[in-house]
Amino acid sequence: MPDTRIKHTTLLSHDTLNGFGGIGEGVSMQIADDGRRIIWLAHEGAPKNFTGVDVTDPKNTKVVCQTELPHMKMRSNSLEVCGNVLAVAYQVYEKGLEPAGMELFDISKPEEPKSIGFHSTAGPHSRGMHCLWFVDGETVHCSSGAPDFEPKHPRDDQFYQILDVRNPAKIEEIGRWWMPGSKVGDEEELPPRVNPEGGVDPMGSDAFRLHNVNVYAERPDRAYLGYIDGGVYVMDISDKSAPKVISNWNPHNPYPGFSHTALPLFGRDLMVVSDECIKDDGADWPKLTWILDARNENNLVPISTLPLPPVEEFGLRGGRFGSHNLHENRPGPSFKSEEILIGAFFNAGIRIYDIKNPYQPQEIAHFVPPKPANSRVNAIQMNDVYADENGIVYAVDRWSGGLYVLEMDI
Amino acid sequence: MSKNKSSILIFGNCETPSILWNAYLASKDTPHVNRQYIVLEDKPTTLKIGSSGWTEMNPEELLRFENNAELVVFTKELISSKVNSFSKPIKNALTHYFQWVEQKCIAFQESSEEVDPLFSNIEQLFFKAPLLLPHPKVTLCDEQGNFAGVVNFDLSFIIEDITYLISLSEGQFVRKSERDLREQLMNSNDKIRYINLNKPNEINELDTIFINELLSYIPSLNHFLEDNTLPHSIYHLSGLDALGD
Repeated sequence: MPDTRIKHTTLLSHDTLNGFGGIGEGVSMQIADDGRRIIWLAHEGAPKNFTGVDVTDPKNTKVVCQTELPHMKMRSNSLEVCGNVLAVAYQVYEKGLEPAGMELFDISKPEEPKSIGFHSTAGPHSRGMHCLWFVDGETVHCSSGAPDFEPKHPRDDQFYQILDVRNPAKIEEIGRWWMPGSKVGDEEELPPRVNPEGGVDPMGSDAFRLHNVNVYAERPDRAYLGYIDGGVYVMDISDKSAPKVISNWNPHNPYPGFSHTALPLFGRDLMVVSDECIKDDGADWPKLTWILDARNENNLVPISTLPLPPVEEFGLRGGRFGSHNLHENRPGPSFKSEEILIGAFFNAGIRIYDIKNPYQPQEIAHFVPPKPANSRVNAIQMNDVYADENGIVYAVDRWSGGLYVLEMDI
Repeated sequence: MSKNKSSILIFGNCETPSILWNAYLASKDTPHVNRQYIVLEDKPTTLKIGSSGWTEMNPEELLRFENNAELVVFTKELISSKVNSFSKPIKNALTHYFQWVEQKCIAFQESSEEVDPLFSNIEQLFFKAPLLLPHPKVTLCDEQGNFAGVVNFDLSFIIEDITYLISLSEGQFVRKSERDLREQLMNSNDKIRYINLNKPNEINELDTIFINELLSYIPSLNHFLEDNTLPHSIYHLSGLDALGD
């Protein structure tokens, strides 16, 4: 493969998903009742909703299901699988459009997903749901707007919501929290905006809204929020109806914003925080992944960042360059490590790090394929990554490359 | 430069093991048990909490303590201080091990009528227990005797002529390169035993599941009070070390 940069990884297969290879931030694995491994992928944009790929033989993958969105002004972007239930987030491009929110599917038969529940978060000030976390079969933690929520700034519309999905036919919101000052009627003032763009385009870069929320069985009373320009929030959710802030860590500014994922490593009292690169051509460089000392959850302390390849080499290579999604050690058929991190870094590909010494993270492997055919930018844009318990890595391109299946040789 | 020397077991915080390997090669008078590493020799030597070498204490430091109980607390802290800040399971394992040792000492004290009353209290018996070392790294050499790297573990005991190397990797991915190094080490040294344990819990009460699992792999741990030697604290007067061993 020309222009491929590989270090201690092997490409097992590449699947462009029937020509619809633009994948968002949802990659999750199902072990089907018949033993097949199905990787489910949320598309970056319409017309496709989600795709299921049989990866039982990682060298010979096969699309088994590909679904359509109801219209072109929406995207699914995020999904999670828990058992035989698939949860899919729906976000619309214009406020007030429908459907916006979340849909649940029974995927007992992967070829025939069956809708079993829908929760609307559509409203005059809502774009619906951007990201969701669903690992216990009972609760969805998500970033969404809501019919009754009017943000002071149009870009601050998505906040933390907790949904009870035990009865898919009657999904209920059981808790919510937003950054104080972001809702109309809040007395608090928000901090100054980070790199303000002006305007009211909800897709603009400066925002005080939630991106990812992560909750783990090791600490079911904690939620870890990447609140974009609000930084990271550690929340006490022992009472889900009233989430409380334990601490907030925010490097923005002076750093260029967009806290994305807060991944706790419980056995090591560390936290890994990625900031999402959101601008092409290195315009928001450096978008970092931070290692935090989390021994005192009330006082998170940054101790290092993951080393990135040279900006002079990647900054103008095409598209975005910098941190984005991490493999999140979720339960299920999932790679689990508190020493090895796997991340998607847009045009810098998939990069794998050893953080045994968290003060000096080392890059130990990477995979950077060439620009996929039909991409709208001039380089790969690795958008999300998932690894299974066997160390097989599933990486996806944002625009057209689809699914890359890798083996780590570390 | 290389020597056909024994492997060393480095313990505690260490970022660059080759520095200690080179120091070992260059050394002439460094004790085989010292504050940074232990030379793995064939002769049977149980490394106890009260053994000399792994720590050094001068008379002035000893005078800080008003009684043996304070010395026990200090010793536990000293061992725990060798645990990396971001290795909570290892710290928990040490805590549970110390608790078990103390419970064992108390039970021995209460059950035995024949022990010398001068040397039968928990603050003395504690030092007879095998030393649980955090972050052991065992060096590997190539066929020419050149340093080839280290194999990392979480905890270690040296009992008689066996070195027990323990991992707490429960459910965690282990790199193939590490698995290969472990295999190489096991194949090269028949006095090494590898043990994989579940992580101990974080609760203050003794984690009996963890301890029982540990004892199932190392039954000899159970008998540390039965060796008929006098207990010896971590203070060793230079030149008289042999008295305590």
